[in-house]
Amino acid sequence: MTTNEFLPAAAPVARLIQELHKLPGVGTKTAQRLTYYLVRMPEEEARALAQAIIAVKERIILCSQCQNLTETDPCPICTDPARDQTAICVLEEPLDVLALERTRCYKGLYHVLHGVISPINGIGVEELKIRELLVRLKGDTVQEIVLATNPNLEGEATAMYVHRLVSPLVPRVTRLARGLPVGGDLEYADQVTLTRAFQGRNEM
Amino acid sequence: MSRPRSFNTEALVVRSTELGEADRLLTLLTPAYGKLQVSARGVRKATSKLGGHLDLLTRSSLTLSQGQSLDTITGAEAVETFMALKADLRALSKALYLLELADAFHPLGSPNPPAYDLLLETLRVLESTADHELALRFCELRLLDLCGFLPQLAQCVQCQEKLLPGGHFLSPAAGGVLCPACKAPFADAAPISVEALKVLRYLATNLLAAAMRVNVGPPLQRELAALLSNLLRYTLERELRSAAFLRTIAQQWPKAEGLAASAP
Repeated sequence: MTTNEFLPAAAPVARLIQELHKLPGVGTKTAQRLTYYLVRMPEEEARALAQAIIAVKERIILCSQCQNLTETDPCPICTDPARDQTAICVLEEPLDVLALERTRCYKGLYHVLHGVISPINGIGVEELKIRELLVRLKGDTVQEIVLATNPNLEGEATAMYVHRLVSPLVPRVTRLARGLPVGGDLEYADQVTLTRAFQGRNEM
Repeated sequence: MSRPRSFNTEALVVRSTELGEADRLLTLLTPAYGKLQVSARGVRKATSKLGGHLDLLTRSSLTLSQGQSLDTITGAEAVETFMALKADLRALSKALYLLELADAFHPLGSPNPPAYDLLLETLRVLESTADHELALRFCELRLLDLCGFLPQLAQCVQCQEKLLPGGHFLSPAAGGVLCPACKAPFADAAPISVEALKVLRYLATNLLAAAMRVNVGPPLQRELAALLSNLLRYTLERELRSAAFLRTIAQQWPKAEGLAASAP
């Protein structure tokens, strides 16, 4: 999209529309609406938003341990003495850390791969933070690796690949259970999900 | 083939990318409508009814409704899930390569039912046998054939003379095999052994089941792989991205083994 398309708007307004339009899920109309909202916003609020954007770009780095986004290196989770240092949960994206932290059922450490193996989209094993994970497994501290990649083909492929590399180094490698979601419906479940749910059935 | 407002088809999911908040943009191969790009709404949510039926490398029976730019999936039921393929990383890397290959050879629309059947047939062979290489070569050569790019293998493509034993070349630019006398103008002409030529001719004219019975040693396998890779690169004018992953896995997992058994 070029600036020319927004000729009726003043140049700074057109520029903001263009910038907002680059965000995921923001179309031209939404970008225009947001822009005119921002124009009418009190100046201090607009400044706070601008500063928040600058701050994440300037201050957020990857934790040298778990590769999660952080302001301090190592991150608060990696340095927390209350956390179980013998377990590492391997995830695809930083957002997955938030999802797991919300459950409050896992007290170990994390490792964020920043993607999944996706050969068709040109993402191979080199693009992921797998080497950084192997470095963390030197020494005998880690007793369990939990593979928590998404239960789709690419997530499974990544889990299989990581499993092969880490299994000689760690006593226990586990994978999150795959099966029926809470609030789901048996009737609509696909064969793979039902098979997995059946294989992983528990004593009541 | 023009599509009605709402239509049913079977389809194989060959590519899947994230779209918006919880949607996916899927590339489907269908027998009747060719390649389609469709949106699958909400399939990334855990309780999605359709999600499990629309994973990559899954053949499903679908109901689609026509949208302004993209058709939308309104119903899906998995027919064939290739679970054994998905549980073995070596076989899976090859299956993903085939998906990208098939995707690359199909323009949007333009149905090619034999090519669709060929892909499914090859995937089933990958799933049921340990030795996959010849199946990949078969699929590559037959895809070239079905899309109109089969190289001339019977006689010299330039002088049309019958090939005498020994000293032949294969040139993707010339579109087939060359005798030594005609080789000069084609810079991409690479030597081809008599055995490789015979195997290619056999693959081009026989069924997959028969082709799988051909006994091919490792050096000949490598020659065939290189020859077909050259032909594909010339025809598609690019390198397939999953070929790099195929090589990584082949290097790190030199021997076939059941990963499924050792998976946690």
